[in-house]
Amino acid sequence: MTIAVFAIYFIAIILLTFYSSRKLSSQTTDNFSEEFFVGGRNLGPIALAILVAAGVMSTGTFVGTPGLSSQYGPGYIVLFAMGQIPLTVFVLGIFGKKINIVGRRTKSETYIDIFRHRYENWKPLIIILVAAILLALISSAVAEFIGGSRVIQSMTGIPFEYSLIAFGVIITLYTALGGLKGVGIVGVLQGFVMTVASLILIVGYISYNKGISPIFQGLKEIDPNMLTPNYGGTFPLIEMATYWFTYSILLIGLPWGVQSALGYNSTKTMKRAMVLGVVFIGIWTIFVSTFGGAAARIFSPDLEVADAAIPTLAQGILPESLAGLVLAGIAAAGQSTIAALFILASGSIVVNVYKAFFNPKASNHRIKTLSITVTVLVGFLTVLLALNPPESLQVILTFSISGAASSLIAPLVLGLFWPRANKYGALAGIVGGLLIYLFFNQVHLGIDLLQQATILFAVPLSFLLTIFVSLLTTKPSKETVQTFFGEAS
Amino acid sequence: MSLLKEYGIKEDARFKQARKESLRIMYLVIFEFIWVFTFGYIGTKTNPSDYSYIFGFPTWFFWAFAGAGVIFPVVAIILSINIKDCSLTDDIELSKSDRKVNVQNTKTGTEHL
Repeated sequence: MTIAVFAIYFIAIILLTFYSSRKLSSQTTDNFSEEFFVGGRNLGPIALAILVAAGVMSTGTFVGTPGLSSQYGPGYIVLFAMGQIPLTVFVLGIFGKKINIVGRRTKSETYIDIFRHRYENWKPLIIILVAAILLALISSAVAEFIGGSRVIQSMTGIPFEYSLIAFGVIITLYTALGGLKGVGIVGVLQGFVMTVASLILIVGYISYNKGISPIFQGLKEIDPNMLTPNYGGTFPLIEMATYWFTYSILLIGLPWGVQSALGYNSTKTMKRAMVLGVVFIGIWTIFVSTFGGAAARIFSPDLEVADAAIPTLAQGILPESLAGLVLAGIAAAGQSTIAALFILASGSIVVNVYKAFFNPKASNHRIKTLSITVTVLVGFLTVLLALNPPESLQVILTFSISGAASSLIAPLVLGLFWPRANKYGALAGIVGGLLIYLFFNQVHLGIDLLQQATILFAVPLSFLLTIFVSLLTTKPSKETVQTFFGEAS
Repeated sequence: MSLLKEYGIKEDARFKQARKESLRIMYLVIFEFIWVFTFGYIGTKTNPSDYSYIFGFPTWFFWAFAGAGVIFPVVAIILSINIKDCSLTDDIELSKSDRKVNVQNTKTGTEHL
């Protein structure tokens, strides 16, 4: 029964893939890469909300974070991840308008394009950006694949490799055939499935426990430390503050928010997406991440594998068909992120490497063939890596995501809001931020604070570096400042 | 912004407005952090077996959750709704003297947009 529900979800994705690929090929555009990577700058509110939220609608929200809640209690999650609920407001409200207007002015099609135009097409900067972003994107896609497939295996018995390959093929197909818009269209279905799954789950555990507050009485009996914000003092508050910042405000510097901000069609769409996003992320974070994990611990006090929290709960308290829907929700969460990562990776390669360095005058047809081919290759590579994960994957993942978050935000935010920021400052901010992050993480100076709150030091230092180096070097050109700050010329 | 003066560039009114809106959201981020971590701190100061409860939730949790799960998301929604609408393309963005001419242009021009 679980598998049947799952199969229905699978078929729905395939149908939507056909729909979105026909939509893409029916466009008689003379600019394929704009159509493919930024959805023709014509995304609607739901697709925009889902695409901006892609970073948090991941297996993390549906598997990892509830697992932490089942181990350390719901209070830990309030401090750990609830800052992400207004994420769409942070991303679109802080630079949504500016990115979109400047993006149209400069015809930017990718995250890196924004840097390229702001920092005067400086090659060393672009090369570092492309490398850092590809590493971060591909390693997180690999991790999402592995996490999602393990959950499917534990719930349905479908072997890890089968589900991985099946989903690898389908995600690659709908990404390659539909572009950003296709990812958005399928993402709407996935967001819907995740939201329904969250609602089913909360109705399930509320009727099982006779309310939400009895959860706290139950936790008190299992382990009173689970009522505290930091598991009875195990985690210092400063460490919790680091998580809070990383999962709320620092996520705005990562590529998917900016990429989607390039693609919407009006400020009305943007505002609707911001509101919708708060509602969606709120439902997932509160009902699944915060209380779902805790409810799973009440249901099964000697839960051994933290990641099994939501699957165990769903299969324990729900009828089989509904448990299948929750499983589909978990799978959807991972897939939506993977698809967004594929588009971003392929955009960086096609637009920022091929078009920028090798063939600026590439024909529209050439770009079309290449975009689809590169997307398929990225998918293929990711699946291969997920089947034989390199031993250092976890390390690469942690460093690439936190490293990217701590080093990209300063050049991005300063570039958009401070006219004096220049390319040398940007490079110093990126490289410096990354090195400071790695240094404090690896080298023990005997100060615990530095280890626990690396990001809280690395980010401000990266801002300072960008500012100082910019002030010490030449001003950005008048044209650049005019484009990013001035009135239309 | 002194560089704008030096280059004699007039800042786009839409960017000025966007900057104001960004600042409001930055304040939201800061207030939310202070709110949640104040109650988090209170939660660490008492032994969990001595906790007081509101509606069955530990008091610190109730208030921290009310902030992060309800109050601040609602404030965020209000801030979003209050963002000013503006054109995203440059062609309608003209000075006042040009606007009259432009209105006539857009009347005929919107059809094929």
